[in-house]
Amino acid sequence: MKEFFYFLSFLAVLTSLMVVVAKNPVHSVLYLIMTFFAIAGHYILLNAQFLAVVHIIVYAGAIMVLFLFVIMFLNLNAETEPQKPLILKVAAGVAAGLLFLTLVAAFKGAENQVAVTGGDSQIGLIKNLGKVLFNDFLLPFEITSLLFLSAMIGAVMLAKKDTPEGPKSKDLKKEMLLEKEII
Amino acid sequence: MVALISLSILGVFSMIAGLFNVNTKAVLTISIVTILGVLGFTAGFHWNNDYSRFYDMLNFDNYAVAFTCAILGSTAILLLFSEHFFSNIKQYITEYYSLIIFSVVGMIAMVAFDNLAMLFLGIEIMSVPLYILVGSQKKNLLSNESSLKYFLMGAFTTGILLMGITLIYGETGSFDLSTIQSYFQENATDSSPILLVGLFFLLAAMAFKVSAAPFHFWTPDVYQGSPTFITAFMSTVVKIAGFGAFFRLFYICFAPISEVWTTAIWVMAALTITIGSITAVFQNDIKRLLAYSSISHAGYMLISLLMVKNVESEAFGAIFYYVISYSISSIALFSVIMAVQKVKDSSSIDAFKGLAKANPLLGIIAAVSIASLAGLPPTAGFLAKFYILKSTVESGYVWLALIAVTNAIIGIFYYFKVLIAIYFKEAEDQSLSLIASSLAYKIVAVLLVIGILVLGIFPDLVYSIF
Repeated sequence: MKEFFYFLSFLAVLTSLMVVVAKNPVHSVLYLIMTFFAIAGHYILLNAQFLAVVHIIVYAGAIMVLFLFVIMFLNLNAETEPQKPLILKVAAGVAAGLLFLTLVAAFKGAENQVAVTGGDSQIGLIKNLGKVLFNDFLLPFEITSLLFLSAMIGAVMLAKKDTPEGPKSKDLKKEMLLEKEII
Repeated sequence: MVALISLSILGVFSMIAGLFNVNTKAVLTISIVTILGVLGFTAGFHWNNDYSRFYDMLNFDNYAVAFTCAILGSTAILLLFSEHFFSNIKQYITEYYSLIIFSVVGMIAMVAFDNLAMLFLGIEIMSVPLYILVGSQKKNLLSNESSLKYFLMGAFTTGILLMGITLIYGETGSFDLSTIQSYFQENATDSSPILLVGLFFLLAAMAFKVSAAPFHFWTPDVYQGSPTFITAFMSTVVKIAGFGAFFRLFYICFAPISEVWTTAIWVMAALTITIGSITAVFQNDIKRLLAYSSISHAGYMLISLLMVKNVESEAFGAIFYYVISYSISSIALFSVIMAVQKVKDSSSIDAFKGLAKANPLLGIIAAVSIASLAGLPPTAGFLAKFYILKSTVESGYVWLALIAVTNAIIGIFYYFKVLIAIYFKEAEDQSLSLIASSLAYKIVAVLLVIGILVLGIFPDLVYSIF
């Protein structure tokens, strides 16, 4: 188990480094998929099978396809990549290094702590997850719908073309004609 | 809870109303009436009547009720002023309302949370509509830029917030505020470093949301680029909610280990006030100037976090009084800016030249609100600063109080730059006399001015409610 954990962690760190380092954005996305698989492996190690499956379906499946689409639409390449001034790079490096140092120090101090585990191998199953989700975390679960709803409204608002007349033009034919003109 | 449910229904209602081309004036009226009704209900029912439901996800104690009422009240007043904003927009007006209302729902979750999951969701529900509203002027490059900037930085901050919550969960095994607090009480002297890192991650994320230095860089660009109505919304209502959550988290949850974070807050507050007020001196755009002034006000509000050792109710009173006075003064000033922008289409300070001569009422509103923001007696802003500084000195932070006072004097300088333009400069053209304000606008604006003065003379109305 321990070896497997180290293998997965190594894989996750390596691939996420490659996401940043890779020159080609499509390669970055492919490395990101590998990172997600490594993280899904961690979920399985933690007895969260359902989460692992959902993670792969949603992230590696849906979101990454979206990523690839966007990257191909944008037609990114090395020439269009904005170059940051050196001082910004140095500042970012120093800040990230300090954060890294702090995190390493914090986790190093905790190496003697006993890990708190549920000990219940069934804890990650859908049944148990559902019980927690619809009892203890019912309100957060429900209120998330507002988040998605407002994101959807925003997507429609921002993506839809403004018709010159506004929505008051009840004449559907006229609107359709307008849309044809735009296309 | 009633507030959350009825506001969600209101948001969905105004979204659907757009589908059936319901008159936007009617939707606006219904929204304002509902918001005021919810405000009345929350204040009347929950005050001194702690109300915790849904497995301790939310807790409507007096603190949460006070901040909820401040948020709802400010939103209602802002919506009353929205005529100038919405008269320029042809489409999606009801969608704007529903986004604003959804954002308010998130804020209520933020100030009443009793569980870190609710804090996270509240911040997200508040922020996502804001990203959209900031970028709602699709043809305006500045608006696009500010939306993208705010979104990217906000998303990154969300990651940091989540990381902090995760680290705290890993150590305490709970998202629940009272559990975390009792964990801190038991291990006050030897908290593990993981917990402290988590605490500072949360501190950074919250500081971003209230735009405290050194996490303030997005503020001027976003405030300048977004539509003025949204700028007003962000610099008042969103700020109230941000500080509500900030205080709830640090004052209630992290109070037992205050030695650890008070130094950080000290430095952040001093930096925020200084950067905000010194940079504001060089601004020529009033929205940018107000952005920097809002940064420096955030610094004053941060100071009140340092009073954690004082009597609790006094600190709550001081912060709440500051939030209210800042909010109503800003709304009053923004209402003037919106009225001027309607005829001038510019937000530089030069656009305000000769406003007092062309429209004396707007001149008076601007004068009183600027005096209050600068902290001059007898306005509410003076006593707000006074209470904060008084308890700063009482808590032993004399140097911080000195820095704050110095910057308050600098603040008077840049606020008066605007006042001089309004009162002592000649207008370049006659367009300012074209400002036509409706009767409703006049009544509300005059009431706001009266409110600023009344709060300044009778501070106990707000200061000692806790």
